[in-house]
Amino acid sequence: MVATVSGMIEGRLSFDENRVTTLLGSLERMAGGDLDHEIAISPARDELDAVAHAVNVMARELLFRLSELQKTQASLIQAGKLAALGEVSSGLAHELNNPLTVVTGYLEHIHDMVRSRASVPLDFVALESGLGKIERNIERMNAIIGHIMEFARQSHPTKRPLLLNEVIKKSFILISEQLRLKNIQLKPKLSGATLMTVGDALRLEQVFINLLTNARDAIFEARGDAGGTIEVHSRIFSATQLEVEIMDDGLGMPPEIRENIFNPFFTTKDVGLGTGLGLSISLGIIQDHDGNIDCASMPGKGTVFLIKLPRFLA
Amino acid sequence: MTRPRLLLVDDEAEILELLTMIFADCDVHTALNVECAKTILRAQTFDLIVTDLKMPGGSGLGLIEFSKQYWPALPVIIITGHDPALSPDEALKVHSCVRKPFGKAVIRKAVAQALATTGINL
Repeated sequence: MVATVSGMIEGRLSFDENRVTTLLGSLERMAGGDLDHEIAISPARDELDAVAHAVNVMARELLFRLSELQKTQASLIQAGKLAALGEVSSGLAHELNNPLTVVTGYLEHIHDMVRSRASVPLDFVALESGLGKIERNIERMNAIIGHIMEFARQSHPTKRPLLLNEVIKKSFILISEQLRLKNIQLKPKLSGATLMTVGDALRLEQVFINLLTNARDAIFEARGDAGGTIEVHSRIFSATQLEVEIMDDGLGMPPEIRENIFNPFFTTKDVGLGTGLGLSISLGIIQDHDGNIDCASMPGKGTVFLIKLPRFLA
Repeated sequence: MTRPRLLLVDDEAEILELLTMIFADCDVHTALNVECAKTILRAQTFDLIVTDLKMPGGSGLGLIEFSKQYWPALPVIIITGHDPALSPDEALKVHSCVRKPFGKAVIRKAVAQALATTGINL
């Protein structure tokens, strides 16, 4: 009788031990990030099953929160993108109004020529030259507007192999007019090698625009309309990493500011002038690409941002 | 009748070309930047300056300051794609602001009105 009871206890213990081991395995799997995993509930419906059930509920809740967080992050990135666009908008207005003036002017001129053709014979050379100017300037506006639309569109992040230098050059389209007007020389020294990474081109462009906008402001704060220089270098950093360096000769930052620049809502700009989101969103985007941003700065000398991204080998 | 003498300043060559065509009945000098405009202003007299505001190398406001030192009565018209956002002091030195993009009629009317203040007909 005693032997039977002890045999029963041993049997129960070893059964439970198996279930505990299985439960532990499941928990480890979930802790590792596999929240879709579900722990099986035994027919016994005992305390172990109650624990398993509670863990399953928690995992579902976590999955839900995670998807909410991803949605919030996506809207934050979109908001940051629109803020970045706002930062460069006055330069864009200038960039569009000039070709628009040329188009308006030459259309009127051609209209005048056509209207007075009874008294003055049509000058076909002047007509063709005017039309050519209109065409060129419309193409110019089209390229700018097309790029604004592409950049501002709310897109699902899509990562694919891309040429990093192409993304860097695209970021110049939206900011170059701003820099030119503020006497800031943009000096790109992009590596001649094929720099490929896997990423979302628009989000990476957003990062470069944010950093270039900051560099622009730092130079303007230091020297106003006298301007300065922004250097942009890209290179193969190691067998597995690419590096982009954005360096300005602007105001620079003391350590107490530099330490905080990646914190959300941290800004040194006046109310209404900066969201304080540009750099924190940029860091988020780069980390999402398995990369990192470093910053070094010296007050009165300037600031350099170093972005590392994984190198993709086709 | 003497032709009105205009100094046109804009960093876009095609805008200057267009303005030159619009004011074919005037004596026109053009400058692509403020420094060049100042050099021309030192050498010749004009009846009117038409200038862009935001240009690399120096703002149109600097040019206005410069011209007012030597020729306080010389009228100035600003052409700009931006909201010029002038201070009251700056605004008083400018006859009028014409926003880009402008048509021929608008810019000619502004120039005619500015010239009329000094008794010149376009």
